[in-house]
Amino acid sequence: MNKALILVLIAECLTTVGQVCFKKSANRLNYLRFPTLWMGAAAMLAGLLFWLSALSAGELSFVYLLGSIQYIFALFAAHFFLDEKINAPKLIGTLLITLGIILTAVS
Amino acid sequence: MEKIAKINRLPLKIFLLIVTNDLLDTTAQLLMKKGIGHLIDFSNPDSFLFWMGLVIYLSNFFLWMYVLSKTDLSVALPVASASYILIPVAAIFFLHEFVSPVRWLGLVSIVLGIYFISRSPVKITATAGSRPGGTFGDDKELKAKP
Repeated sequence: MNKALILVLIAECLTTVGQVCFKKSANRLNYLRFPTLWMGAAAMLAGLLFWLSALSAGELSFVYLLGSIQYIFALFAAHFFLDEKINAPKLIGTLLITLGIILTAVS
Repeated sequence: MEKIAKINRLPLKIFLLIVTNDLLDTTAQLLMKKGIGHLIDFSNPDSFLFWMGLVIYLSNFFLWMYVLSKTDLSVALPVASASYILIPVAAIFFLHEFVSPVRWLGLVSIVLGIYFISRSPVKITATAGSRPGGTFGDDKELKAKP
């Protein structure tokens, strides 16, 4: 179980890095020729591999449940790297979604 | 570099695009899952499904990049959790699956969360590069968004 936990956390970190890179590239005219995009794609792919190994290391429901942490990771990553302010509705909304995913996963 | 970013709520159009992106993503994954067993067995009609799924998956990326160019990541990503609702709801209506009260509570919580996020102010960027941290590397290749 512990191994799966670490694998999920690594997977979600890499996915978040990928999303931040995508966001940084999204306003470019030719984003397909922008290196950051490909860094993001590589991070996404690595994240997917870690996610798959987490799935094989732990139970599906546990891994799935923990995956909902990505919204919290994204909230803070966007705050620190993309200058997207954390405000009350965003924080409440993100927490409610994470809670909701946990509730749907445990039942 | 002029800073032309105005604060706005999440527009309905972008919301619908995020949900579309999400539905396409789910469809693509189901297709790939169904077809991956018969990947190179071209006599089997299911081999086609994987490639169809892959094409949908890759084209969906461009839709996601469009969404990201229009709204914040910390808004677009949680709203994309709509699939956590759409799939169980589809299962309830089309497959007549039983949904426990706790799961209903979870679904309501996700809907509320998406509501809160869609009410939070987002920056609608008029010019790329107008947001600090929005770019790095060379700033030559900037795009003027209408």
